[in-house]
Amino acid sequence: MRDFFFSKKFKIILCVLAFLVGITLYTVKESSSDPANSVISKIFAPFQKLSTSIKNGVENSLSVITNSKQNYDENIELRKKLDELYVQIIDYQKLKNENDQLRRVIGLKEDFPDFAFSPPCQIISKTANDPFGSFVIDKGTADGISVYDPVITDTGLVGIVTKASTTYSRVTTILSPEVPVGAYCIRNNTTGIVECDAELAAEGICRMKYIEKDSDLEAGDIIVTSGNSGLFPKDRIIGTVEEIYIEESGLSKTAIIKPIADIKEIQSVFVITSFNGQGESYEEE
Amino acid sequence: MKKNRPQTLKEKRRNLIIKWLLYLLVMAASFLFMTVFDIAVPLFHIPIAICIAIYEKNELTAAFMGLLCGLLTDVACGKLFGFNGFMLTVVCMFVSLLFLYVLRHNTVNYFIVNAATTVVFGLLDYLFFYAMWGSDINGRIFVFNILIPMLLTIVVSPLMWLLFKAIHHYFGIRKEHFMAEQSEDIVRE
Repeated sequence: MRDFFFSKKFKIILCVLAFLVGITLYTVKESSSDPANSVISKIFAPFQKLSTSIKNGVENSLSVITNSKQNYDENIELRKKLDELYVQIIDYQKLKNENDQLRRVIGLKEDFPDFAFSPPCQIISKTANDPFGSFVIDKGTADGISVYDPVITDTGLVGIVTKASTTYSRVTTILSPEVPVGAYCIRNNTTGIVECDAELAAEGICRMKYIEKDSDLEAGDIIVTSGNSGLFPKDRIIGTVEEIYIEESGLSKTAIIKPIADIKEIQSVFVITSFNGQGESYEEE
Repeated sequence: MKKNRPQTLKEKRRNLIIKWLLYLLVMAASFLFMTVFDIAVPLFHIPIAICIAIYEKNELTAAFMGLLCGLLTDVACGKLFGFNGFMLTVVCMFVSLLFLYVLRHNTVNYFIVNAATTVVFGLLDYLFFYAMWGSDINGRIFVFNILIPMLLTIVVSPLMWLLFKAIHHYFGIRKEHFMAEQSEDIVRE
């Protein structure tokens, strides 16, 4: 065995290891782009797309059978909600008409005209054993996506691009402690920071911290992005308040937030490639 | 009868190609399985790399396959590129040396080596990616994202062993002529 450590083979292995350490250090330095990683991702992407679609197809077919009772109960419940919603839609339509008139009067622009979107992105793979639900999408820098671009669904905020290669990007979700989001309540302007930890991420919820003790935040309030960090555009819906409690210190409140986008179940997202105020943080001003 | 017949050069070449294609297929299928499901999944590439290291009986091959398997694990698990690659290269090189010079080529030894490697990898993963950054307070990550995949990896490892045993059995290169040469040497002595 000793001869091996003086052999050519061992020297080759040492060279390979040294090369690998070099690549790893480069990856650490250039954390936003990872060429070696993207080569492997590129090779496997078509197969991942195929296997993901097969898995989704099988899951959907099986869920019809396995969840029939649950679906039936849900159906009844949803019918009740639908009836309630019809009533709300009439009110909503009235308000919308009124709102449209007001917009025309004061000459406001359409909602978010400053946004530039990527083409719709399919989720091609999930990160194995990641407690925070990060995933890979099938669009990258070739589609105008760059690191720190916000990721949304048509309903609400999902996360942020943390790695972008030519045709693929990795998205870290708002369920990760690495993505704190400045937020406020749309009803009463109560501000706070939406963040998460492993325990909450497992349940698919997050928390809004540093809420003023005197604020009148209620369950059901809608929480949106404040846009102060320059990472997220203002007024994108994050989620709704589920529960509020006072911190152990007694100095502030914390609210449990249910993200509006079902992050663990989504299959396609959009990336906002540019918006007014991108990269301009409140602190910098 | 056919089984004991010495393999022709053409058969050896064909078997070699099929064997390596099957190795790559198993690695690719494992990678896809790991990245498609949103649940705790085994780290398939650890037992795969160790099986190849044991069956191929060549330190350099073992190291390169360890490298490939490690890099696939890095990509699948979204870890720092090269982290598992480096460790699995070193581990596979030593596993190959151990099984060439020290340990006997059997299931129990493989199982122990694989389990030890999996546990070490899991603990290092936890240390470097979670514990060091204080992102785990109540051990939830350790249980659901480290311990369960670790146990699953250990549970599926005998299946991998059987799979690679079958591949090697059907597509390995038989050593009849070496045996014959050895017996001739013995007779000469």
